[in-house]
Amino acid sequence: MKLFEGEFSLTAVITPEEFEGIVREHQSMVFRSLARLLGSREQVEDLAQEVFLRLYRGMQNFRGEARLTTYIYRIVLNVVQDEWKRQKPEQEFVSFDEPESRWDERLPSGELDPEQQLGGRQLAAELNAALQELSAAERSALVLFHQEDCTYEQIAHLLSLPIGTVRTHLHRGRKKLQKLMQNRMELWQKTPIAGK
Amino acid sequence: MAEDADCRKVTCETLRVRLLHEPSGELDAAALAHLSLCDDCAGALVTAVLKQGAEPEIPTDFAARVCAALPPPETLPKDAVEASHRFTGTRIAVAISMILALAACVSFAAVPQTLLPAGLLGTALAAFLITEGVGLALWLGLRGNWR
Repeated sequence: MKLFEGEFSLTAVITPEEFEGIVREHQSMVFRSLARLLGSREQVEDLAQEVFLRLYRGMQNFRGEARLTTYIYRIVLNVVQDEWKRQKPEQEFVSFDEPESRWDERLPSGELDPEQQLGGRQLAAELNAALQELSAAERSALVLFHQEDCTYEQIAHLLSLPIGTVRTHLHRGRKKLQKLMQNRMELWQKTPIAGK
Repeated sequence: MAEDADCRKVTCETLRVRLLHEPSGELDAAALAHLSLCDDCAGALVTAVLKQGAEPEIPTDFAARVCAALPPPETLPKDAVEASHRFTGTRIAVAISMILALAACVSFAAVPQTLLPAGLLGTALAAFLITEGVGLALWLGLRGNWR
């Protein structure tokens, strides 16, 4: 991660041209994180714009105590949190073992192609859908750890959680995802292929 | 059993190698059968797909559109200007203190033994000035934090 200390003094007023450079440098990370955390690409562009607008407004208060990348991650998590609350204000996370969870109905249709193969894109889509079955903390921890290569300490700082709790969320999240994907694979094997 | 036969075709080792080199590759029925039964390989698959990361398309003009939507720059608040002066003042005070300290050390070392009392007086004066400089630097810095 790039250290950004020293770029801005207490009186810095960043110009739009300078900010455009920052956007170009970090847009890939922001888009990637939003897509994974939301499990959908529909609102990613709008929310990415929101992330950078919040970043611009917060630049006046950014004094370089933390890396800019960490600061952006925090904004991404806040934006995603707001979006989750807006979409499902009273979401209850039910274990996939519970009969009322009906997790299999919420997953995308996993029909295999005629050659009985599961493509990479479909696999990623299934995983993204399965991620939505996890708790917010588990989802965030997994994406930050595996996709963004954040350390335990960074994740703990971003999520305002003890490191031990982060490790627990990672472990449980991985196990749940693994189980979800295995159940899905069993279902694919048992479901006859639709005629194509 | 057909399922057992499929599983035997794919081993943990072959699947891990495949996941390592082609995390987004095709998974055939044999691989799926193995994954549905093998917790370790299923875990490795999950990790591999997560690491690969989603790669959404970013519009080429996204950065330009963000900047076009930025609010107009606000005028600098008075506090920001004062903070700049304090910051500069602190740096100058620290620099003066360091120069005086160096001068005191050099002059003290160069003083002959016979003139030691005078050298000591000079050193005390220099120490007094250094203390004043450090105090000024601390005061300028702390005053900013107390606001």
